[in-house]
Amino acid sequence: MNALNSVAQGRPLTGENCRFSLSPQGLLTVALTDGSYSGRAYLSLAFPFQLTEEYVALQNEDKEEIGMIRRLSDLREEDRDLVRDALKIKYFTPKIYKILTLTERFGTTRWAVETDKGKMNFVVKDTYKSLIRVSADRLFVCDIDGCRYEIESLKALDRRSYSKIELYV
Amino acid sequence: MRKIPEAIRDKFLEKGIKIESALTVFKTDSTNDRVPCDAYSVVTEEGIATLFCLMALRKRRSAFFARRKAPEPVLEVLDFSFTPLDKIRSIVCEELITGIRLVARCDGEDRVLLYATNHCSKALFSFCDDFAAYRETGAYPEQKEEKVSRCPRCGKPYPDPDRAYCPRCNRSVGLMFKLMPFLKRYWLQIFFVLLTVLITAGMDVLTPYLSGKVLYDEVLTPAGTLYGKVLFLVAVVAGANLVASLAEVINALVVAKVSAFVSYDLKKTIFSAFERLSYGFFTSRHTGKLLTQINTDAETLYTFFCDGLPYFLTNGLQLVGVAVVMFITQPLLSLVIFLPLPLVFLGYFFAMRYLKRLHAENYNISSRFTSIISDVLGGMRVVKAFSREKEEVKRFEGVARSISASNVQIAVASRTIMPLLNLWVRLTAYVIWGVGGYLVIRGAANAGGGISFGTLMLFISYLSLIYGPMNFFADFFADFASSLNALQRLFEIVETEPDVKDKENPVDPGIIRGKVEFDHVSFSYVPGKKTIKSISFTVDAGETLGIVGHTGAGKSTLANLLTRLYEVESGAIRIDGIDLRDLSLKALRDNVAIVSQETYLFRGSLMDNIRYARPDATADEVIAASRAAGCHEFILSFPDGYDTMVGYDKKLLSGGEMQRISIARAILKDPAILILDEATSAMDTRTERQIQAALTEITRNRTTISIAHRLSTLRDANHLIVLENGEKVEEGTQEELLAKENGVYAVLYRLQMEAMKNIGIEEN
Repeated sequence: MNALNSVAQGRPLTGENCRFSLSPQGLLTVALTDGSYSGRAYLSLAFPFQLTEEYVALQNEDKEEIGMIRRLSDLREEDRDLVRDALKIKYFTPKIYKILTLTERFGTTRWAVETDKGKMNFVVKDTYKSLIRVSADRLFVCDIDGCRYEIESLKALDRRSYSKIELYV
Repeated sequence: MRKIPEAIRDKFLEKGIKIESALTVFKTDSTNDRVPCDAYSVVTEEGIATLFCLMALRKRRSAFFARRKAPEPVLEVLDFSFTPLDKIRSIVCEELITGIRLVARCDGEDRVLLYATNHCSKALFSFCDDFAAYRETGAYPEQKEEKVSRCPRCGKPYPDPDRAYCPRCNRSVGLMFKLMPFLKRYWLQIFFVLLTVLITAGMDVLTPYLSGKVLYDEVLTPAGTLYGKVLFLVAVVAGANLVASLAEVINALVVAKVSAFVSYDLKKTIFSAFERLSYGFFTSRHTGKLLTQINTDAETLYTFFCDGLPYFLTNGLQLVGVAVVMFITQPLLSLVIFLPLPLVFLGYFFAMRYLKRLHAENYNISSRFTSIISDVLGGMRVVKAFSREKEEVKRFEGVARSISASNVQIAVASRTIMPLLNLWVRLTAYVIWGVGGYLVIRGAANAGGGISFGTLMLFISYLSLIYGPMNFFADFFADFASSLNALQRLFEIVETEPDVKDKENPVDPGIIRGKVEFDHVSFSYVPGKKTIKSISFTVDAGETLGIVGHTGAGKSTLANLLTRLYEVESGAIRIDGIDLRDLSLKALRDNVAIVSQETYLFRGSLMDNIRYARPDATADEVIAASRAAGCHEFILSFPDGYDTMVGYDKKLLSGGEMQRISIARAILKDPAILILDEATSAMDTRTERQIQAALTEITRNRTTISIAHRLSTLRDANHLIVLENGEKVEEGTQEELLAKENGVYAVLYRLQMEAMKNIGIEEN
């Protein structure tokens, strides 16, 4: 492991070496204290389903990695909330809490759901394969355009909603 | 330009924005808080204005008027934003996980214009492109016709955005009608089928009438009209049976023949559709599944038309016949018989549905099971190498256990539900016996409403005709639905319009000299991600062009575009000055051969594989081509020589050998334009040198486009271009490129030369 550490050590980002701020237009920017980068901050989670506060990669506009925030708690407190908000915007996924209708025809399903952002309709092709099962209880639905919808807890769904997707989970 | 509702137009006018003078207008679907809404953006010379609003169609209060008047649109404005255009340098789409952020790059800072879901990504990406063109040229590009991604009939998006096919609107009845042309040829046979079905059904209704009602009431009763004529009745019944059986046999024979022919016709139509369809159709995500299903689908249709439909027709007709006879004979008892029928039907229907559901679950688990097995077997080397056997066994066990659990569930369900339903049917029969027996006794006592013994016997024998096929009927609708699915998929393939097709009067120039021009060619596989960005170059007839670049730089895409497997997005490719889109596909493909990174050998002999493009080539020609490609010797080393069968066991040939076979194949075709797409990449450097001489020989006086990441392959090219991320970054002869101190090519060349030296040292 030691050998691995020496060849593949990314640049750890902590409260010591980076400062985040919001532009007047509300976009996240970052400045490294050594002056090697300053500008828009593009964030990517390495494990977006499970670890939403850890392994946050900071990238530049060309998607090249500048460094990695191992844990959000490594950052200064005021930066932490800025990063958290930016992640929330990037990883925004409507949360389904009720399935109104789900009809299958020829392998594609049409969904009408109620989410935390209101009613939505979408189409899923190849339904069984388009569900990302994160755990026995939590899953993501991926529609034909690549939009994701989260079902935070299958158990928390009402019985009618659950019976509609039972076949696919 | 997109049509904008009147109400929205007015709102923009209130803000001082005239839509008439807009450069473009587009619609998105989300507020900046990501709540679904209708957002209209108007781009004018002054700026970009976006109106976020909720459009709802409120029904008029009175239901009576609602039907006559169109619903009243209600507009609720949520937000409005305006960004002056003079500040904006460019506009980019930033991809989020479930959406897109449209960002304006202004001097000094970035501004968020709007958020939208991925549904709008195509439109937004093309807006960004158009805006970039506007900034560059000062003129806003003409609006391309919007590619319809929604079904014009139902307004719902197509399941596959690249394929304008709406399964929803291709509904049951229409589908069946589409089958008509296939059936028309067999009208005589179909007439026979219907006739025999009618006869069988008639006889089946008649026989119980004879052996029940007539036997007891007319033949065995002294007062009957046919008293004592037992032999006569037996003869008539036997005759009726004979006729019914004959009709049944004829029916089965004709049906079997017709459905086999129809399913053959269908398969043929589909396979000829394959030939017509573009390459993109086959590489698109879900097609693999579609294709493997075709055979099963044809089979499903065969069973449906051969077994299901005739059986349904016979039993349906029988049911009607029986009902008519019964209600004429004894309406009251008939009512008793028919009343529980819907309940029994529903019972079977739900039972079948439940079982189907269990079977579907079982199927899902089984397919997971098989995929684990094929996973492990295919990756056995890796499994062993990392000694993961135990974990794989565990994974296997888990799924195996859920399969057995599901099997138990199915067995328990089917063995309890079905007997219970059958018991129910029998109970109904006992009730009828009871009621009927009571009525017979009343009849014997000459009390009102009584029936004869023969009538009771008739009704009892009709019972099985009525209740017997109920479980079949309950299942029939599911069968019907699944054959509709099958039909649907078949027609989806038959009716898909190819993206690449000949225009109406394609040019066929006869002899092609082989001058190739790329004129500002752009192309993208996925919207927004340009694989090829405005590339131009010219290759004169007989010259060799080398294309260099990293993996993923777009080299192979250039080859795909030149062979017109895909259509260019903008710009043009010309061969001998003729636009590829005007050239007939046949002329193009006859004159262009490609040797690619992936070689495919079809099942058959090596001989057949080499002369795949020219089946009439003589043995001499095949051997000559093999010599030129450097595969003659190793072919001779096989015991069966050129007759060696390949395609079954790939281990017979190494990657390099397969590639040499495909080079021989291309040589034999003798095309005006030869594309070598990493043709020698699977060979080691020494083998490559060996056949390099052969390749030089072949490419002389032939337009050759040679794609390689190994630069030694390109030493004979007249001209080189270097690609990076879909852009042409350098161009020139090898000397010119090497002369550039820090040029991409020069750096690559030095790196590879060093690597070669290392190999050389090792070899010594």
